Amino acid sequence: MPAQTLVQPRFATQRGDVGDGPPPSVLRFPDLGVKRLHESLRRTEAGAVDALHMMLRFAGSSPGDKSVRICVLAIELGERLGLPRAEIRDLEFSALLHDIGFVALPADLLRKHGVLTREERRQLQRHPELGEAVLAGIPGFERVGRIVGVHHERPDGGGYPHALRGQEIPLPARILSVAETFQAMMTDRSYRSRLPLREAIERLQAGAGSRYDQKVVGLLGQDPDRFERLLTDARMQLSEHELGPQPPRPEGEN
Amino acid sequence: MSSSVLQNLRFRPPRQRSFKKAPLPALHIKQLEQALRQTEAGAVCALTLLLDLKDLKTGMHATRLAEWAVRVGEELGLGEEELRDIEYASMLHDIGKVGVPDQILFKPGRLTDDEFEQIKKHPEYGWAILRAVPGLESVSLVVLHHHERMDGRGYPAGLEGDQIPLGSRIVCVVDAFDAMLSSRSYRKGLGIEEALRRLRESSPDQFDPQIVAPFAELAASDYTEIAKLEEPAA
Repeated sequence: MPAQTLVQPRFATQRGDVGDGPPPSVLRFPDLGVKRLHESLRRTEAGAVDALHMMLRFAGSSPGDKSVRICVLAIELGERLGLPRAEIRDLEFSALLHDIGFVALPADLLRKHGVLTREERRQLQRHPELGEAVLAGIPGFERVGRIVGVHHERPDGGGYPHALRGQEIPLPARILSVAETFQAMMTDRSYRSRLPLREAIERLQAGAGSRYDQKVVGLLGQDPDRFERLLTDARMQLSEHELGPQPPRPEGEN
Repeated sequence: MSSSVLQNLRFRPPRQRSFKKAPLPALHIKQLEQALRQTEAGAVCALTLLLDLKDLKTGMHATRLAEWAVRVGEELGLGEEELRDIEYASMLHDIGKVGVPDQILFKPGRLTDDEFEQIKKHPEYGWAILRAVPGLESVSLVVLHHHERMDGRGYPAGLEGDQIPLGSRIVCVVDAFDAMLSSRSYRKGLGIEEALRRLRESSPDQFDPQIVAPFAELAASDYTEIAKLEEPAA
């Protein structure tokens, strides 16, 4: 059975404009070997992201399109905020892999409905660190790992695992945080249906500055319909592709 | 050319190019190739680590297999590239187990037929995952076929003899050996002699005798060293 990679080349990195191209001095001597190797390197990195993301889907820890939708959202927010290309690439990868740590956690914990014990919550909250540990070993993924490691921090210091505050949290992580929350609010769950768009924006605005980065929330509030459409479009684009072998998945999300 | 034309050129015309620049692309190619290899290695480590975090026993098992498989490969005179592929394939051969439900993976007793059918999917899942990485294509194939049998009665493809990639035939042998040596909750591990005896008994039906033979010699001499790669006692 053919395995389609889930992420199709439509994001910044694979459009060919990426932070780390050949250095200018080499471009003067158009050497196909060098160009091809740079291309291979980019594709290998993208492939590593795809493989890890596939592990996440196989583990049933994340409905197939959740991370991709967050990714599309995060990239849009990042571009609008004027992030440099290299950081957009980091943001893209970290958005796809931010939940990778869940693969390491017991499946029944992830599936549990109802109230979690303190120990269970503590276990689940290890997923950012676990994700960072996994990514730390890949050359070129240090910043990606860092973003994954802090994507549950909050500007007011009330997040985890390090209780970082404000600017201590890298901007891509603050963007990812808001994107994930918005996506969660706009998704049906087993215990509640998705929030109306206006309510989602209101909740985000209520937490601006404390739970969520003020600037990022402001950006969302300027054009909520467009961002909602981005989420829907991402979902529709994905259903056009074969998602590959899927094990039977239990109900519920993390 | 007139001086104004020269001034308007953004780079120096070829005749004046310094030859010191000539080796630069070559050096850069070497660096890039190395970066490529390192990124591939990093991806392999990340994937293995993820599985390891989920279940430490699997991680150490994979590490031991990689040791065994590379040594067998060296005995068989394989080249650097092939040894690298076999090492990666051994580390990643069970990566597809993320697709198998926990309650089956960690079940203490014997598996039902249904449950076994689900476990049998893990080579395909592994193949699907590894195919995503451009440099790991051949590794993904070795992983896909690591439960084939020489007599064609294996899975998922029912390949026979030489049709099975060499790497798969090697992983198959070392995987079975390591599994036999490990204790499970429902039985104790076997000794080396007994495990080797069973390997020989099951070839050439299941295992490739041309791999079992050199492996048996290696096992006797290298066992103590590799056995040290164990998960820490609980």
